[in-house]
Amino acid sequence: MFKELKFARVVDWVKERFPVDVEEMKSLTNEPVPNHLKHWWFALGGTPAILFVIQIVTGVFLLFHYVPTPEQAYESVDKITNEVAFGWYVRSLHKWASELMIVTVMLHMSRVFFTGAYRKPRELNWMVGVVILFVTLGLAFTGYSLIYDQLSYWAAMVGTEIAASTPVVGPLAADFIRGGPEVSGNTLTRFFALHVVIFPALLIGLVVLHIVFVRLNGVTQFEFEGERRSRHRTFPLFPDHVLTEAMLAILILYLLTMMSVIFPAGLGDRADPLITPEHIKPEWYFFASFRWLKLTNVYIGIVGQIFFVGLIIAWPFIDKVFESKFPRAELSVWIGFLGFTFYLILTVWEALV
Amino acid sequence: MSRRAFFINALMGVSLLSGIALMASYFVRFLFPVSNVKVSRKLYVGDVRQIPPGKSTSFTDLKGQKLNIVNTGDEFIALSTKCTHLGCQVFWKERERLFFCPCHDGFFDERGNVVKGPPPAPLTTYKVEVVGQGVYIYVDEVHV
Amino acid sequence: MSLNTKKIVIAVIGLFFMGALLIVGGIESNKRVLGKKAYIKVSATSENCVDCHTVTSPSLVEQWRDSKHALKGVGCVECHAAESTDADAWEHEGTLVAVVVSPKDCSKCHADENEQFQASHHADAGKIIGSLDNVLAEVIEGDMGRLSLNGQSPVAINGCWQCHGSVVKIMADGRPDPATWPNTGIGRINPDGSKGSCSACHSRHRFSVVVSRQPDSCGKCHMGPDHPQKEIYEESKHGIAFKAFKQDMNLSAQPWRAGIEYSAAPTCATCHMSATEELPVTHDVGMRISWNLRPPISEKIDAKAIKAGEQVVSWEDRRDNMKAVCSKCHSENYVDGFYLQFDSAINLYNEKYGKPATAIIKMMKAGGVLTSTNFDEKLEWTYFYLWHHEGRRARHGASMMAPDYTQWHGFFEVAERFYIHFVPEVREACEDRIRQGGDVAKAAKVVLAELDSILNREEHMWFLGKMTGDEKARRKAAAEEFKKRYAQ
Repeated sequence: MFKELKFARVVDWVKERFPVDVEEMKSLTNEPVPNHLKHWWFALGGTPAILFVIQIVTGVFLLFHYVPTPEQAYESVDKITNEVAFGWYVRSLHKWASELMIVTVMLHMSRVFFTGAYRKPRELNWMVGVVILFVTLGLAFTGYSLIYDQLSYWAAMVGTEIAASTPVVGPLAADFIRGGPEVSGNTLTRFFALHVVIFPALLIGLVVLHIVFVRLNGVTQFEFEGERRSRHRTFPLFPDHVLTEAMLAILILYLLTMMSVIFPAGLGDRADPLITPEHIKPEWYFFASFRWLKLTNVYIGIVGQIFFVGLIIAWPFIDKVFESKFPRAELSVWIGFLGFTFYLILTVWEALV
Repeated sequence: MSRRAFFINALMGVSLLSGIALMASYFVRFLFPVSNVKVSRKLYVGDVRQIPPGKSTSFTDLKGQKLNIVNTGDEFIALSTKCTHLGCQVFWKERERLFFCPCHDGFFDERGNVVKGPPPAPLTTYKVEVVGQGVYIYVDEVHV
Repeated sequence: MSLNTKKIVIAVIGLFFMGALLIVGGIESNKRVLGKKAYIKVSATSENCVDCHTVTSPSLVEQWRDSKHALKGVGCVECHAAESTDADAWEHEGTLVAVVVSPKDCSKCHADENEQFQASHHADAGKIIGSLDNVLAEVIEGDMGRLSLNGQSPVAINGCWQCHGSVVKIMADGRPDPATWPNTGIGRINPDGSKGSCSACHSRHRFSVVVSRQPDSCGKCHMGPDHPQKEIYEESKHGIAFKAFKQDMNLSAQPWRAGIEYSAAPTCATCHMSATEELPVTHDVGMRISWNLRPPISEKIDAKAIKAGEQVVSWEDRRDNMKAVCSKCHSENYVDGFYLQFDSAINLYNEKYGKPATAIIKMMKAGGVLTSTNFDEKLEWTYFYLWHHEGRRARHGASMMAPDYTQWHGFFEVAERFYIHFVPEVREACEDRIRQGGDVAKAAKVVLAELDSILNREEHMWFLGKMTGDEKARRKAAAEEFKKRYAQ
């Protein structure tokens, strides 16, 4: 009883200085979750968010040991991988979480696309989402280059060369990315700033915006034909949905740990500007883009991709036109399917050759 | 709360807490610095007779950095040939008896001291030891 | 999915997660133990050798890669490079190399060790041409004619020289004579004139000091019926301790000093070569030995040099060196007491068997009782066994505290050889000559007289049945004592 009194007095002390209405907070946060979210594919949005949190945590820890200069970058990564206690584990988690984050962002995007959740009034959120995808890819690209092994260096080299080939803005953009006429220490510094501060801050802002939009517009209702309408069309966020997210989180941690144990992150040869490796390949998520560039000339390759990105961003509006012209034909689904398949084919092609 | 509910809550709590706690302990250990003792390795350069007085030979250390080992007649001096300005490779000019960096016209003397130009510091020296007929050099250790 | 189900699922996955984390912890602690591999860098020429020989002789390259040489940047050509003036130089894939790496080559970096080694008896091991043993291998056992290999006896090539070392000959085409190479005998005479082979103990290409510190390294040659030092060591308490505590021996330590880096047991190297806190390592294995136990009559190790008028370290100083090592584990009284016991055994052998038998044989050869050809008569083999086999076993056994070798493999067999074979054979040979008559008969008579005077010495009298009354009484009393003791 004495303890209860003490606790109550502390709570009162805090409440006087931090006046928050607990009941109102409860009702604000404990928004009922619509039942259709019980379909598993609706978890694909929260997953990348959880992975993003893991990336921030592991990334901050890695910051304690990583040194972003050309002389010491590789060595510091080597030190993390081989000398620092559990360094290999933290680094492997960071690597696998990044791979998984890209996969789940793409899967989430596909889910949203194929359930038509980009349609009015959610067009803006769709566009925010596409930007999130590209910031994620940017994080992956800049992150990988920080290792400064052969692949890092030459991938950065190729990436900036591609940027340089963009018509009109190319050379300017390349100079900006590289921090000079060629890949050097300046490049590493910029990539570091992008990877550690600029992109993460941007991503946090975008994700918050993304979630605000979802809260404002609600999650798209989606039911299969004949799906029984249960009496309770919602279920409570806490504790039900929270527990679902907890399940997801612990499952992700478990899977990432096992991946780290079985396939720990390795280290290639030290970057050597004088030796170009025989086969330079970007990371798998850029395979389709790479293959496309090899198949077409520089102009179509780059402009084509920019056009493709524009299409994706503007899809809610294109879909609107299709819906009005060819209602019920669900052209979006078919075109989306074709587009996804095309991306898959190019990716696998590049992987195999 | 029923006993069953309590038990399940406890199980979940313990499972989660122990997992997170163990992981946190790993992460905390990660933060503590590893001993940063600079380990060096003694490498065999070659036979003394391969570097007669007045002559020099080039050598690469374990990190791939190039150096120059010269026999002045009295002693062996090992200098890194990486210019301390922006990292270009310097080369030896016999007549002037100076190391010259072509990138921004930096000059170093035969002991690596800056003579002229933008380099801010002398060329890095390496410790050399002669044991018997062997010339040895001390370089930074590299592990695989 | 009900709430409870979700919670149970979380709990279960959480347990799996714990399991995965424990594996992570296990990997982390193992990572510490296993350590890292060092980066190996050698000259470009050596890299060439490695590239090809990784395919043609992969284990050789791997052994080298694990060596300290590789760590230090000493690759192939650093040892195998040859000058055009070298007898054994030949052009191989664009570089002038020599297969035989001699102690002179090693001395480029290991000058001190080579200097000590060249002064040692190990380095002279190859100088057995003309010695009794060599005649055995080349003539008596083997053949240098139609059954030879390039004119050399296969017995010598495969037997003697593999320990003692061959004289490496280079043929007209610049390659070594297969009769003389491959060979890593410790006294090998190399094409560049230097003596010895470092590979004899420091096996290539790993050149690990652990190998050379193993008693088995010495045991490749120091074993067998004529000098079973390895077996003697293994019988002794020293060898037993080594076997029991090998894991505590710290064999790869550098420096490796008795009493500091290790204390569990001494090895051959410990006493004969290796360092203590005060003594440096020496590759001159004679520096701590006081007796020469090899010849028919043992003498102090500096006796020959003194006779030749040379200045060498005295046997007393050498014994002090050895005592310095003994004293790491043993008290002064213990060590001194041992040397008194040891000296008495050598003295006994010399006086009772070595000197008498040698004197007899000398007389018989000089007088023509024995032919001038060695080993063509039974008595010569008997005498050889006496001093070269049993005689050495007894002496070596006493030197390294192996009682069974001293007694049953040693003095027992010496006595048997002497009394049951040597003495009767001398008598028979002499009586034979006496029957034939002439000058030789006179010489034979002198020999018999000498033999008689020897056998009448106090230590041999029992053989002639001439024990004194007192002696007999004492033996009887001792026998009664033993019977009483063991009947209990």
